[in-house]
Amino acid sequence: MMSRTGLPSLAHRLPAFVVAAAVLTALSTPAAATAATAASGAPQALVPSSAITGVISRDGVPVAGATVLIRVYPSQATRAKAKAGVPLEMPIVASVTTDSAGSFAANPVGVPVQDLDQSGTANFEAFVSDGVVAMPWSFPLQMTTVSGVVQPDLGGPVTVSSGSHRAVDLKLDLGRTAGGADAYDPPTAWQGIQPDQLTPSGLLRGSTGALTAAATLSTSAGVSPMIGCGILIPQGNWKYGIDEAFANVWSWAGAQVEFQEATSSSHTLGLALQQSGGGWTQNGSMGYTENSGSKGDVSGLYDNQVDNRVDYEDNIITCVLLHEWAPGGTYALMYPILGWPHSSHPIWGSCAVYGNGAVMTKTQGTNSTISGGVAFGPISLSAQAGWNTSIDEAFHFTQTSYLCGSSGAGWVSSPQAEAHQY
Amino acid sequence: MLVGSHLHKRKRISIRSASLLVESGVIDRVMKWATAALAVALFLAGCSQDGPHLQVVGDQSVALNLAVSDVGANQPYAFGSIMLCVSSPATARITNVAVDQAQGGIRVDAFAVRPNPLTRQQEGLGGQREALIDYSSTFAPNSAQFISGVCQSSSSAIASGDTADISELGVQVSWDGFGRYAGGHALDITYEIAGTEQTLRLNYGIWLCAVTCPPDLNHTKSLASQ
Repeated sequence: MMSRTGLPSLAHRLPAFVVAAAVLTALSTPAAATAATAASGAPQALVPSSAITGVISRDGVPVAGATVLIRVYPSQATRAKAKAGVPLEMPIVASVTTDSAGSFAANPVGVPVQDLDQSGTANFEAFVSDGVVAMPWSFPLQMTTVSGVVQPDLGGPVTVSSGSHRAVDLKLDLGRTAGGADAYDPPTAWQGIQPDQLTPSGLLRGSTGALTAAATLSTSAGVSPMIGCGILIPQGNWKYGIDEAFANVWSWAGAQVEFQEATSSSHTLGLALQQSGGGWTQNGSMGYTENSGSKGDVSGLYDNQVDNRVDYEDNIITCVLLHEWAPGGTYALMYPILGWPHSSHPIWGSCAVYGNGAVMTKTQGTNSTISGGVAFGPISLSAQAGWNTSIDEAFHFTQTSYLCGSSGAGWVSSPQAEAHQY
Repeated sequence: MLVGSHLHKRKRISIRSASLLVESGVIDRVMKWATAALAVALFLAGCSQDGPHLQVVGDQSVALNLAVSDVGANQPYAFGSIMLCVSSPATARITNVAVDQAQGGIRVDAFAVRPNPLTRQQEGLGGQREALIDYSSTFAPNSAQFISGVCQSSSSAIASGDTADISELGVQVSWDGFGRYAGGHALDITYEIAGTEQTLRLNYGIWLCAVTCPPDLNHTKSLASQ
């Protein structure tokens, strides 16, 4: 349709005008400018492009063409109700191969909603193979549900903080001293269960950074990443009441600490793998939700270690064919409480001063990972308590005190805080 | 969540570009690339955040609560340790700080930002029974409050990286003394950035009590409701 001036009719072209105007105005907005900046590679991205990334290496040399299968575990509730010997499916939700730099990126697709735990986290296993050896590595990942579709929770202004589980960046080495780590929660940043033990035993240092020792499997022994894999078989065996170092409380008598832990607090605990030769390794970790249905509230703490007691269950996964011991239940909440000598109390340098009469409470998304925090028995496993919205740590200041953190951004941004006399 | 949400945003949008296109007769060409450009724009918008914005440094899921006992009517109380940064290069100007859904007669009397004191051999502001301006001259509540330090991308970067460019927000409150206490579970920080006005909600509860604060005020909002 033409107008008498020869120009296209505005009415006819209105949708196009709207589209053009929308495009131009959208491109002129700060959002689009920022997006364009991000696309050009300028430093902007706080949001990873994929929820699961990583590098596969062998003795530090990147492995091209390695297979990475991502499978999802049944939820904690499903596993708790499962009968011994009755298989549970672990569907494959991503399958990628590494590029020439040994890198891969994946987003899980088709995660069953029933595999999410109460906090929306799902547990995954990356089954990695270079054709010679294979390695299973477990990790939790925070998911979200949009229009009934479960997908990685990368929306919003994300800073991938340690233990947030918004993304994982795996460093897995299949070599002679096999090991693995999540670059967002590197073992070098873990604290020891003993105050002076700042690195975990079994820490490996390779070209990809610090790793914890992990088990591998020979593919010549029939281990295939594809055929017949992904069935979890509960064995009906449990280890009850294993101590989980939950948090170290560092304070003094003038700023005593109250801990309150409600139901459904989330934790990330190491997964123990029993090798066929009898050895044990920690091949990753699993998210675990406290499920005792009770609350814990202890006060008057300073220079204490707060523990929980958890139960571990024994599973076998086809293709891995090893016993995987995974956290599965709560035995006791906030028990036992252990005491540290005051000489163990660390003094950190980024401090703020609080006068008496104030109660400063923090609910934190993640705690620092405690190396060897789970006294599993044959080995000690890492423990990280997610201080989600169900856990409060309150400093009751009855005398003027310093409240300090270990990072230059202050105590609020630090994994843990400590208080001492002003 | 310490940074719960950006509550609202107003953008200045013009359609003058469309009128110019009509007059110059380039509609058909525009239409051809418009669809593709729109797809690109939508893709980019989906891949990025809504432009630069203010956020708390570090773990976005942290929530805080400060309950202060024995605070008299109109007695100033200053608190801080709220470290802020911008998500991408830009300058944010804080125009207002308010207690969200305030209970009782609590007021925000002053607010100010200052360069990270912790990297300048100074203490951060915890909680003090004095006015912000009396606490330290590094807080200038009567001046415009700008933040331009860009956020680090991970906690490990924060732990090991340069945090000198981030800013500490200090807030001064008081209450009218009527009742047992006054306060709220969150702070709303209104700011301007890149031509838009936005509000950042911090789950930082603040309570002022006439005598000893009730125990249920010693918890962050999420746990207090359980």
